[in-house]
Amino acid sequence: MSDRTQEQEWISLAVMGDDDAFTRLVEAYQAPVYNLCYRMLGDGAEAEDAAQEAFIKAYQGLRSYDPNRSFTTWLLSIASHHCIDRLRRKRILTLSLEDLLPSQEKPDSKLSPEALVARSETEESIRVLLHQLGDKDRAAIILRYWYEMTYEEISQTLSLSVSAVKSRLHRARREVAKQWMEQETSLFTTRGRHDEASAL
Amino acid sequence: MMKHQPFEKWLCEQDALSGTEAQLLQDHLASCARCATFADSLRAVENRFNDAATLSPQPGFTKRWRARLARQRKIERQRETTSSIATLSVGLFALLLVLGARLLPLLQLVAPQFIAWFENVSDVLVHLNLAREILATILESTITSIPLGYRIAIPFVLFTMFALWFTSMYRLGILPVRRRLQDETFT
Repeated sequence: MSDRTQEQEWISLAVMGDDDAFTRLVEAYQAPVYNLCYRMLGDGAEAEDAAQEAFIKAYQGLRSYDPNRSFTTWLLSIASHHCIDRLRRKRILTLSLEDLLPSQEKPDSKLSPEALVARSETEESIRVLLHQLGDKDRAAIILRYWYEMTYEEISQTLSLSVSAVKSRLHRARREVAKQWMEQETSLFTTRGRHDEASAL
Repeated sequence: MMKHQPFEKWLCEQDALSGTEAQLLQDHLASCARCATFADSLRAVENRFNDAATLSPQPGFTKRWRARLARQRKIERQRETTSSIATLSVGLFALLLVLGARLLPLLQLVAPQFIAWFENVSDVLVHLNLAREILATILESTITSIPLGYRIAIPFVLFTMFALWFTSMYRLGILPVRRRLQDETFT
């Protein structure tokens, strides 16, 4: 049985109230949904909470799912809208728990300490780059680069027009490239000062 | 002053360029350091995004999700029960208001009779209570004046008299009737 057929069977069973079938869908899609929430929110604990909430919303709205549409797009649409709402609420609330809660990311035991440090630095730089962007621009970038979605798929996922997606991606690319340039410039300046100090 | 548009736009849009446009872009990048740095930065960022891993949640995500679903359902059930009770209460209150308004004239007719009946009942209860108090006072004063031996003997005598009366009634009244009925059945 193909993955798609299997998935459709699980969905049909879940619509009829089979919790185990939906649990299988959760098992299959936990990583993409969690990854999207993590990239959007930038915090492990919040991403876990948001991913669970997104699955609850998907479970409750499963009857509205159109089988002709991609389940992944539908699920990621719920998750991205949930994250955008969450960020909006958070901004209204102003009080952020981000600084109080430590990240829940578990270090990969297979990686060496050096590789872990490098990975952590990379993740941090990605987090900084993404958090310079507006919520929808960030969602568009994540869907484009992590999920390799086409403009049409992104427009469906984020409920935007294709031209709006193009415009958001254009703006987001310009922002991240400029941010990268600034990072590189400041790094270069710091290194230069450090070299001068050691020469003296 | 060097113009950076539309080259920056082309770099960001990433749409397919015509041959001429591609050549123009190449020429511009070769002569403009700012746009060349911009293009390199964009490429570096894109490489970083493309190489970034898809992060997974901590093990046991599905189990935690099921627990959360169970909690959510419990909350929903409680909410449904509360809203049902609230709806019923509001409905009942509205019904009482409507019925009360309709039944008010009838109640006004019945009210004096009902009040009179209630007064009679309360009078009877007051009298009964008075009688109980009088009886209790008599008994109390009598019991305290009767010596201890009589106090034990009187209930005993009363019980014996009751037992004799019951036995006599049974033998003289109930037994003959029973026998007669049995004889009639056999014959």
